[in-house]
Amino acid sequence: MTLLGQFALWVTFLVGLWCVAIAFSARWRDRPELAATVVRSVYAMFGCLVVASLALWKGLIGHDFNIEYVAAYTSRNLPPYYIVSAFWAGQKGSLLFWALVLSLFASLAQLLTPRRYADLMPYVAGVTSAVVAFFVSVMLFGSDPFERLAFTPADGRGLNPQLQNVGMVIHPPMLYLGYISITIPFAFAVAALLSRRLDTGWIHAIRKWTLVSWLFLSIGITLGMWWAYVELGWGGYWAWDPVENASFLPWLTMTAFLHSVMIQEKRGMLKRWNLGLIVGTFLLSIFGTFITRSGVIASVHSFTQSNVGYFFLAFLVVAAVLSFTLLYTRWPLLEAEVRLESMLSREAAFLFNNLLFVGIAFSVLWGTLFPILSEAVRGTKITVGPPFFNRVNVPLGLLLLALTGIGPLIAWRKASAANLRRQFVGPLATGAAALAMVLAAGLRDFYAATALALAGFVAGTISQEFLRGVRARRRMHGESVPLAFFRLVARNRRRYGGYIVHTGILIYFAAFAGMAFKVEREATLKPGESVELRSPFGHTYTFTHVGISQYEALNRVVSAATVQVAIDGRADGLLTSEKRQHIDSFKRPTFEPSTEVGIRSGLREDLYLVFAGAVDGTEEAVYRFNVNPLVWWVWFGGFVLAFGGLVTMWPGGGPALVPARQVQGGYAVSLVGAGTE
Amino acid sequence: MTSRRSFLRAGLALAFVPPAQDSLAGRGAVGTLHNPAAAGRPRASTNPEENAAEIQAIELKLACNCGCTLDIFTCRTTDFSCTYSPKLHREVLALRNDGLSAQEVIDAFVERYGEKALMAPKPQGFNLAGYLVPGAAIVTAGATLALVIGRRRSAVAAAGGAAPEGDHLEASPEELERLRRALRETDD
Amino acid sequence: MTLEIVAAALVGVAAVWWVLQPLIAPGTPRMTVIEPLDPEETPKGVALAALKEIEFDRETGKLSNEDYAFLKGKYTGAALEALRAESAEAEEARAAEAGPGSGGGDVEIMIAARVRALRSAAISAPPGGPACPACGPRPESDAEFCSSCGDRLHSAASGPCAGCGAELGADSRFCAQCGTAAAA
Repeated sequence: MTLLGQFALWVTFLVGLWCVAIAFSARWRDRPELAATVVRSVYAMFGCLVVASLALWKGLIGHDFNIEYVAAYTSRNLPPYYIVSAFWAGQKGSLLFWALVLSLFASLAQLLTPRRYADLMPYVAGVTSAVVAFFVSVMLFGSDPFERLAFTPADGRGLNPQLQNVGMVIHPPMLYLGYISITIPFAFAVAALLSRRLDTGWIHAIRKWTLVSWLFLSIGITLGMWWAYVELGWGGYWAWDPVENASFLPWLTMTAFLHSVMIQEKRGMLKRWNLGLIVGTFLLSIFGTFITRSGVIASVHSFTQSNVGYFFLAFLVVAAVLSFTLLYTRWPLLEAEVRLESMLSREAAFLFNNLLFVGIAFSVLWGTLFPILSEAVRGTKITVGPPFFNRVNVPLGLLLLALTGIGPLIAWRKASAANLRRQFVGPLATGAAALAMVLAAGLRDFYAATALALAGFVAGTISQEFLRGVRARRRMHGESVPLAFFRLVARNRRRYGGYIVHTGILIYFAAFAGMAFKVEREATLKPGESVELRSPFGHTYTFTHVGISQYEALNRVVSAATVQVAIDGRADGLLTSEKRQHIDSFKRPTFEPSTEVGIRSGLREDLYLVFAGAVDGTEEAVYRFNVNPLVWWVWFGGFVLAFGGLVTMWPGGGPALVPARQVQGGYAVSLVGAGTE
Repeated sequence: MTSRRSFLRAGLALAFVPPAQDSLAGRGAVGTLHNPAAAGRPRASTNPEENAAEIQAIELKLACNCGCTLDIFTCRTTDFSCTYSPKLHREVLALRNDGLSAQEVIDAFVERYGEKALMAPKPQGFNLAGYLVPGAAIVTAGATLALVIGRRRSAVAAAGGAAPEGDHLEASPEELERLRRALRETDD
Repeated sequence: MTLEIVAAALVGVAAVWWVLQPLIAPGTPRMTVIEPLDPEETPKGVALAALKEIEFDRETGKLSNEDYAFLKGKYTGAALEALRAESAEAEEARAAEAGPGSGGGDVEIMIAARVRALRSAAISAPPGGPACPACGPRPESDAEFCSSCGDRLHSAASGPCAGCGAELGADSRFCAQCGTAAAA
């Protein structure tokens, strides 16, 4: 089916070029049939990409090892669900996946956007089609997923063992969905600029899309941390790896946008800034793809170095030049409607919030690129590892956390001293209480203590907001407490959903603070021997080596090393870590043996066991033991964050102005195309 | 009677005393693996001295040079196919045995492998730019922002506040009634 | 192989036909529904929402009374302005409707104008016209029932009965309660 797949890619590419040419010629403005063909091209491209993807999937499922991609990423004994994920496991397949999802999103944008934005849609179609056509061109001219081998191997190599994990089945698609959906807001921004319709219309049209891509990015990043934690085995979840940073960058600028867009909606300010943020977020997402696929910066994630990186670099440069030129030519149209009046207003708080988000994004980008810069300036290679990033970014992160607590307490326009006092007493008290508790518990790390105290402060702010909101509704509308609470959230989903997201963030920070106290050590144990670790919560864990057992599973030979765990002398079950030698259907080893860590997760701390290897083929085992505090809370914070995000974007909500009856009265029916004889 | 007791005794002894030799040919009480090749690279036994906390602390500050972006300790206890980190670990141990202090070991590594041996560059010279530019940029931008807002506010104040007071609204009672009705219709 | 080539050809032809169809066969004009703007996108909606919000913010203690008064004045002004603009638009539409001179002019514009007129009718009813007890003055001068809630209307002109003070129906000539003749 490679012929069909390749042909479908070519059709997609040519239709894409047609769409771009018509859309940007703007001739469709007075010829509705041209506008129709532009929109139809988007659907046609999606259809062709579905055909191409089915062709690749057929090869994967049918074990057609003559296809290079199938032979490189699957084998006969690979479990079926990993065959599905093999679609995006490699460079070539992930390009096709990317194009497929982007054209799906582009079609949805055409379908779901209300008709009143009809004069933006052909431009939107043009931008999305240009990006899809770019990705397809990378496949056609650089990295063809349908490439055939000169011979047919009897079995494929199989999937990299580290990718044989549930997290890896969902983490990359989630992150891709986030990355990819950024293109839609970007397309609307460009469309608004091109059509000079720069009122808040386009902002309303993309509101859901920005939330969707923010949500996918958040979930994707959290799943990435989870995958790194359970699969990579180094004992943590965030290492400031360039690829992790690359996913973090658009998240930061998108979060900044989600905040500052509220000012534009309410006050008509920051129009240029918001456009800039959307354009910047898109460019950062392409930059992330470039980093991941070019290998210019050393990273555990990098796909093998390939010429594909140059495609992305070129695309990045072209996209940046075009969008900023466009922004420049429309600059005067983007005059603010209102001027800021006070330093102590929520507008100002939002400005500083944006400053910090963008500042942190800059700082992460700076750190990621600093090795290149240093080599260029001084000619000396340096390593910029986690200690560097922590030193630079932890203070900024804490500042941001503080602002999370301060911002919501300040009124729009300006706040008076009396009103500030009234707002801040409660949260400051909870913050102080948290600090006192932390200090009483004997914690002396400055950053960790600050983070936990600030988390207390933010928790105070959020609770106070909910409490006072419920109380106000009870006073104003005489509602019962549950009803008032429900309506409070339902009628202002963005504000209160946002507070739920803030809750998730403060949980993250508290959990990150916990990682400052992780304990780890390596030990070699014979069966029956044991080692002790003292946890930061004051427990003593005793790990006694039980033995190593070996057995064969579906596509691997497993060596399972088991320890008996005891807490403060009390026996508390077993913990097992494995070495897995993956084999193909002829029992030939395929990859280097991989390590499967043993984790026992708890509310306070995780026990984390790594079986490093056996000594000289005996049952004597080398282990690394970790006690990682508060890791569970990272995943929990992720759930809270995602839940808050869903609340914010749940359809409906916001003040409904008129009863439904009257809205219907407002529909006007027009005959499109009737007047164009 | 005695025979029964001795029988029990013998049974208990069998149950509680482990056999002196493992059934598989191993070393002492330690058995051998059925398929050692599947259990990863063979490891050398480690002793508590080389896993001491201060060795670990030194290794956490030094980068492995296998291209993994990890430090020596994390790499050698995570990536078991890496041949660099165990070698670097031996070098740290050797330098410690020569009586060098922790800082001297780190300095020796920098001398041997260049500045990239450090997990984070020393905050001196050009590296300071790495540490300070982001913070400086944020502070500068923040100060500029504050200044602009402050100036704008005084400009607004100079222009007479531009505060539309309630009484300078000219609205007929009908209009106010319409507004009230529109507000009622707005869900809240 | 042949099958694959046929499939590929089909895909190609289908795609090209689908994309070019509007150009080859323009076909019948499509009906498009033009939706009203989201309330939040209109100046009126923004002002009203802001008024609601400051109400809530004062209640939760976020706004001082002084700030509240200032903002209340500001947004009330904005809302009134929006309302005025709205009724001016309705007025214009009615004028357009009254003068059919254009002779079979653009149907679209006429429908839109009529709809706008109806939408703002409730708030720009002719003085002295009928009024609904629940929905206020109605635009249809000859209506007996409210077109919004279905309640019986009473003419503003008829007023209460001179004899007993009971409400009179729109066209009543005598009071239903006491039988007194209604003032002409």
